[in-house]
Amino acid sequence: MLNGSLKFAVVVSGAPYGTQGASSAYQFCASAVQAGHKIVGVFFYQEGVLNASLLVSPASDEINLPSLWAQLATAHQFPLEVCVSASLRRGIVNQVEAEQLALAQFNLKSPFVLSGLGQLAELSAGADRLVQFK
Amino acid sequence: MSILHTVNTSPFQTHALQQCLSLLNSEDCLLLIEDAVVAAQAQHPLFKELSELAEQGRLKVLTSDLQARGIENRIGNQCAYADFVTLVTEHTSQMAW
Repeated sequence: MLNGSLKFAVVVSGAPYGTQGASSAYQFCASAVQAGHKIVGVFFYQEGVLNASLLVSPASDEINLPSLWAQLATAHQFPLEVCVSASLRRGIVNQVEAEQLALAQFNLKSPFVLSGLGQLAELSAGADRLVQFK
Repeated sequence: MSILHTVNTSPFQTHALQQCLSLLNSEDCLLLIEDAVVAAQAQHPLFKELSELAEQGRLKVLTSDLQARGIENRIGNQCAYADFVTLVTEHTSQMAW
C-alpha cells in the first residue's frame, strides 16, 4: 500500500487568516492530489468554518484562501463540508439557513456545503487516512 | 501500527512538543510544522531529546516553514509538502498536537 494511491480526509480547524493551519492544510491537499492521491473531502470545524466565507476579500496581491479551496475542490471534485453549528455561531450562513433564521444575507461560498459531525464520521470511515490541521 | 505526530506550535509557546515527545512510540515519527520548526534549531530543554530522535531518522521538519522563518535546519530531515504526504501514507495514522 505504501506506493499506492490513498484516500485522504482532511480536517481544518484553523481560520484562513491569523493562524497558519488552514494554509498548511490547503498546501497539503494540493500536494496530495498532485501525488495522485484522492481527497474524499475536507471538513471545516471550529474557527475553520471561516474558510467558507464568500465575503473574505484580502488585498489583490495576497492569497484568497476561500477561493483557492473552491478552485482545488472543483478541479479535483471533492466536497468542502462545513460544520453547521460552528458556522451559525460565527456568522457563516447559507441561503436556506438565512431564510429560516430571517437573516437579510447569506455568505456561504460555493462549493462549500453546511453539514454536521456525522458527515465527518462518514468521511473518516471512507478514507484511508484522516489528517488534521489546527 | 505507527503514528505520524505533527506539532505546529513552538516549545516556547505551548507544551505540545513536550507532551508529544513523552508519548512517542518507537515506531512513531515527529514532523515539525509552522511555529514548531523553531525547535529544530534553538537551544531549549527538549533539544537533546529531539537530537536523539533525529539520529534515529524519526524527526522531520517542513522546509517551507523553516524558510519562512529564516531558520537553518540544524537537526532532523527537511521535508517538502510532497514528503509530508508520503509520511502520512507511510504511517497508520496522523495526530495533530
